[in-house]
Amino acid sequence: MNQRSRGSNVELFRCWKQIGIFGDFSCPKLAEIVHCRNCNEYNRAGRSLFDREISDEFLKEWTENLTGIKESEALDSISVIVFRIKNEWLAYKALYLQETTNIRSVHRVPLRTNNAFKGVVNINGELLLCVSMADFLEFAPEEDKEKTDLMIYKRMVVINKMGERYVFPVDEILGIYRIALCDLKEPPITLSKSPTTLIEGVFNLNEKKVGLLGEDKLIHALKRSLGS
Amino acid sequence: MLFLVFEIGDERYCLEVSRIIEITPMVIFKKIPHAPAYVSGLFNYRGTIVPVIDLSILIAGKPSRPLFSTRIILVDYVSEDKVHHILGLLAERATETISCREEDFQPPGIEVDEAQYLGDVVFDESGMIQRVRIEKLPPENIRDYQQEYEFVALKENNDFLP
Repeated sequence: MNQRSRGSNVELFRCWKQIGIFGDFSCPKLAEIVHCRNCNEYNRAGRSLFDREISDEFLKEWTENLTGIKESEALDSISVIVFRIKNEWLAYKALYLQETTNIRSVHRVPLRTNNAFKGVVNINGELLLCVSMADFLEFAPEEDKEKTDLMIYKRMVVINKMGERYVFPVDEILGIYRIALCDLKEPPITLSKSPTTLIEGVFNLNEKKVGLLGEDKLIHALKRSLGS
Repeated sequence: MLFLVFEIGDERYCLEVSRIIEITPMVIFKKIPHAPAYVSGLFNYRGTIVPVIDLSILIAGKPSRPLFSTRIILVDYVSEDKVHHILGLLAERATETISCREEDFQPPGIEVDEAQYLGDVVFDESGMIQRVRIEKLPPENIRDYQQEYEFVALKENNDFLP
C-alpha cells in the first residue's frame, strides 16, 4: 500500500477534539447543532479522507473490476415492510406505508366497534381508524414460543393509500426489504380460494414465508367491514 | 433535482444525477496518441470501450490528481443523431450531491464560445456552482474521434435509463 500519502495532504484542524463534542464543548455552534456530526466542518473533514493518493494496486484492481459485467439487481422489485401478526409474517408495500409508531391507546367508538374495527387512535394529533388485523384475517392465537433474548416490540403501522388511512397493531416489525417480483410466488390455491384472503403473493425471507397483502384488496376489505 | 458536485481547481461544478450511469474510482487508461490533452484515454467499462475526458484539463488546463476523491463519472451522452453513448468524465472531489430546483439556476450572463458546455449557475452557502451541459460536451473534434474509434453504442432499449 501507498503509505507515504497518508495524512500528508490532509491538513485537518480537528476542532471537534478541541472545542467540540470530544473537547471542551466551547464551540458556539453546539448550542444549535447539538453534536459535531451535524456540523459541516466535521463532514468536510471526513470527506477530506478521500483526498489521499491512490495506490497502483487500487488502480489495477479497479481497472480489472470494471471490465466485468455488473450483476444487476432485478429491475422489477418492490420495497415492502415486513411485520408479524400472531404467527404469521406479512408484508405490505412500503409505498403505501405512512409511518410506524409505538403502541397508542385505542379509543372505542360506542356501537360501532366490532370484531375488526377497534376504535380510533391518535396519530400525530389526527384520529385514525384502528383495525385488528389478527381478527380481521382470522388468525389463530399466538403459539407460546420459547422466550428469546431479542427484544421484540409491538408497534402500530399506519398505512395510507390515496388518503385512505388505517392503523393496525402488529406484534413485531422486521423492517423494510426490497424483493424482486420474480421471487414473489402465487399464494397456495387452497388459500387463494378462501374469500377472506387478501394475500397477493408469498415470498421467502430469511427462511420465513411472508405473505404480501394486496393493498387494494386490503383497503377495500377494510372499508367494507367498517360499512363506510 | 439532484446534482452531483465536483471540483475543478477551486471552483465547483455540477451535473444532473439523472444522466449519470455510475461513478467509479480512477482506473488505468489506455492512452491515445495524438488525442487532445483532455482525453485521458480509453478503458473497458463492463465490456464497452469508453473514452474518458479529464474535465480538469478541459476546464482548468491541469490534470486531475490521482486521489480517492477523483472519480470517473459515467454519463449517458446523446449525440446529435440521437444515439446513446457512454462517456467518462474525470473530476476531482466528486463526493457531494446537492438538491435544487431547475428554477434555482441563473444564467451566467456571459457565453464563451470555447466553453459552451458550461451552463447556468446556482449558489449555496459556500459559493457558486456551475452546471456542466453534457450535450455540449465533448467538443467537436472528440466527436469525430469517437466515430473513428467506432464508439460502441448502447443497445436501443437502455435499461438503466429512466
